Amino acid sequence: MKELRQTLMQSIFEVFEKMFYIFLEPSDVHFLGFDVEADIDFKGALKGSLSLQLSHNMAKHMVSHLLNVPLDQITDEHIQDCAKEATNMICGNFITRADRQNAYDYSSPQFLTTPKGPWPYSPNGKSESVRLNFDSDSGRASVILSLSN
Amino acid sequence: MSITALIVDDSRSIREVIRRIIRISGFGPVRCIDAVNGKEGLEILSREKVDVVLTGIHMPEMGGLEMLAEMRKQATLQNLPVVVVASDAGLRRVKSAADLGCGKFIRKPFYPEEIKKALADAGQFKEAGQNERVETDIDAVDF
Repeated sequence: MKELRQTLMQSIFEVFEKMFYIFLEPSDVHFLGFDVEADIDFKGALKGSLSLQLSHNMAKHMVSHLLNVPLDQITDEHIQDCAKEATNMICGNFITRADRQNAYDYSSPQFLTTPKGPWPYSPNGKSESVRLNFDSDSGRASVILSLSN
Repeated sequence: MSITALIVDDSRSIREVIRRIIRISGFGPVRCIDAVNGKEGLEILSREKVDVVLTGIHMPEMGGLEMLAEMRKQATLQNLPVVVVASDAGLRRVKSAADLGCGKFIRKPFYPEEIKKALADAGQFKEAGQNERVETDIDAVDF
């Protein structure tokens, strides 16, 4: 799990820096009160789910940087699509780094306006989870990776 | 003479990002058409003359590789340049795309330069001359 944690960290940094021009700082604080969340399931040699939780400010800055849209013109639909795509990219990038040999199936990312709440939540059948927390000038983010048996 | 790019992805954000990269890349006039999945992409290809396709892989109804397989069955689309832009870049997926004649596989996240280079390599895009008008079509993406 330690290696996967490191791999996941690299994927998160790569996605945020390349696509959103946001430089994250890892944090030991388990933030509460996220405003949005997007989830994706993956199935292959590894099986599980990945969740991206964002503060509203972080989500708005991601949209603004990705699409060059002023902050005051960002809509809920912008935020939904951006959060889902970020989740998709982090998950695909992580799986490609962790296990490039095998083929994987992915669900369509799902957007939640009410994040699942304080970690660790206990999705059925999930045996191992890792949560990574980040802070930045643009807001806060957390990524939760849950692996099933 | 403008060229036409078909951008196939279920994410409006990604379609808009690619469209913007094309717009600022200094190519000549480019017309961009959007499709939200492979099925819609094939419908557009059946009625529009397209010079290059950029597509994701995992999409509802029909994915990018399924679309590519259908394209290669049609004589008029057999040699159409295709660039895959996807997060899922496992070796089997990349090989499947290559076997279907995908000219370039770009892994997300990407730098704008990677999209620009892939399009230039596709042979359809050339840097615009100083006096050449650079534009992209079409409708702004409405969210």
